[in-house]
Amino acid sequence: MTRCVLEWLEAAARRAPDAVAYDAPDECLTWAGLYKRSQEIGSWIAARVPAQSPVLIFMEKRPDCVAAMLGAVYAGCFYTPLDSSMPQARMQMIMDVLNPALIVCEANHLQAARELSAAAPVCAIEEIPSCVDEALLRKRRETHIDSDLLYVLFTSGSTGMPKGVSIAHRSVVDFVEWACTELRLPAGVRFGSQAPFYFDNSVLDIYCAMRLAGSVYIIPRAEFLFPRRLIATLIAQKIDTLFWVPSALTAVANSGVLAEGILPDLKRVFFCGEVMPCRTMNLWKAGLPDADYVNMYGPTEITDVCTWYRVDRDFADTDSLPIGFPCANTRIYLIDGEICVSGTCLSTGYYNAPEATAEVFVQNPFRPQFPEMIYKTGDMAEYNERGELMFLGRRDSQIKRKGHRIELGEIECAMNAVDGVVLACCYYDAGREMIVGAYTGETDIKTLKNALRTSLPKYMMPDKLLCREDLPRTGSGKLDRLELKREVEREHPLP
Amino acid sequence: MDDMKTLLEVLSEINDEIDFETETGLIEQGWIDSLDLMRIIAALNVAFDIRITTGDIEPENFNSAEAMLALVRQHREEA
Repeated sequence: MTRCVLEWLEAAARRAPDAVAYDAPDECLTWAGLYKRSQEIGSWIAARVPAQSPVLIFMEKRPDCVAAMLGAVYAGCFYTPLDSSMPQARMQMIMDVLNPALIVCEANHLQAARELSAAAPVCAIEEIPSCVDEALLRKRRETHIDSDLLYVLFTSGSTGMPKGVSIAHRSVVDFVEWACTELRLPAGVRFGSQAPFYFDNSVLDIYCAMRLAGSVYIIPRAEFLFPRRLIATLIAQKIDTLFWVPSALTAVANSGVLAEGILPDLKRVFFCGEVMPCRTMNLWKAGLPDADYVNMYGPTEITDVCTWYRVDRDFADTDSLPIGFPCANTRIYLIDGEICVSGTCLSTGYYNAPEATAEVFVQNPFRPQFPEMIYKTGDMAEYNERGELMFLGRRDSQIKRKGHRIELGEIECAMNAVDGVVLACCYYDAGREMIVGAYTGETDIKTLKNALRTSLPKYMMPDKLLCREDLPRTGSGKLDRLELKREVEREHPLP
Repeated sequence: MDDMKTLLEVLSEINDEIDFETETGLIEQGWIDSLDLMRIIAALNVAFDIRITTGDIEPENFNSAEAMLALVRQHREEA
């Protein structure tokens, strides 16, 4: 039984040492190369920090970043990938929660990395020498157990504080074994990777490729802006499998570039992270009628995916696509319509945040006789007449924009923190894909906008800011987002 | 030259932190992300009464204001 994800790396390095593992336009690591570099980085880290320490990987999405992540794992530690596009203030909150023992970055980010933490030593990956301390690595591996953490990924938190979802090795092993089998991934699979490494969709690309000695082509982010360029890349790189957020697939579909037969190598199109519009899927099916299409559902807290649906019939553009059935070794309960999950896939909780953890990781009410956790997703669903799960929406104020999970509360906290703002209230206009932020106070819109740029990632920035005399409240005195939306639409009719 | 003025106004509405007037690596240097690009295309279509779609653009069309203006003019001629 696999206890540590590195067993897959070691098998791939034996089986296909010279085959490409992870590559990008001007960088490539083979399986043997990745194995060697990860061991070197692991030896360096292990000599400096104890096992099970948090290691922050502050790097761009490139092959070396995977080596740094796996290096942390060789040292018996766990990793958190972050990239330099995150605003300073949010990064600082993440640092306060994670308190990393070590930061690994690229040489050109040394200065920015040093500013992140006064306590944690920072090292440039280029400076880590090519030495492997086999005895030390062996010792770390001998004491490893599969409930040790593999990674902590941060998601938006409604109180303004990002939450670090902790995932153990056993959850990723469970997920990847399921995915390789049920998604019928072949040995040597070639992924075209879209998800940033700080987003858990990337776990499927990274580890399924490793499990099958396949490869991952890291598509430059800018290419997603230009569908024609993107298609040319998929053809040139002979990509056979995509696991993308629906908004990335929609952008390609809507551009009209998907002529039939255009992507002869592409055999599998998988999606997860937000609702997949059937119209998008039908446009893809018109271009690639024989590909395998699978819709998946799952929050970061249950290790990427907990339900799945292989598209086995035709859907009209206006239909909703099922999220289907639980993955093997995963149980789904609908409690008052809310999706609750139990199984090995469950996160061990939010890192360094016992209260936030206790709110959503709770005792299974159907098994009061012994401790067993379920995770309450906050997502609502029902069964259709075929027994398939259908996603209905959120029970709270979490939204999805281009696959990013956003708590409106986090945006409101950031607005409330700006001098001169008395009170803020946000809503999401799904039809126009706009976040609207209203506030009372003296600050002018431009000052507020500039202040928010330093605290919110770009995908969380309100598209429209409105200064108001007053904000509507519900009978119980809470801010009323729905009423705000109605009032704004009355006052500012939009096209 | 009035077109350039209109264009710069449209662009500064979308993001007033970027120096659209002189920057020549808007895409390459990562100044523009997908949200910006979608907004820029929508705004250009409205401001210049043209119909640019994502299916007929390349990165080179958006690296500078000059390049965007060339794209606008090309679409106007086609209309």
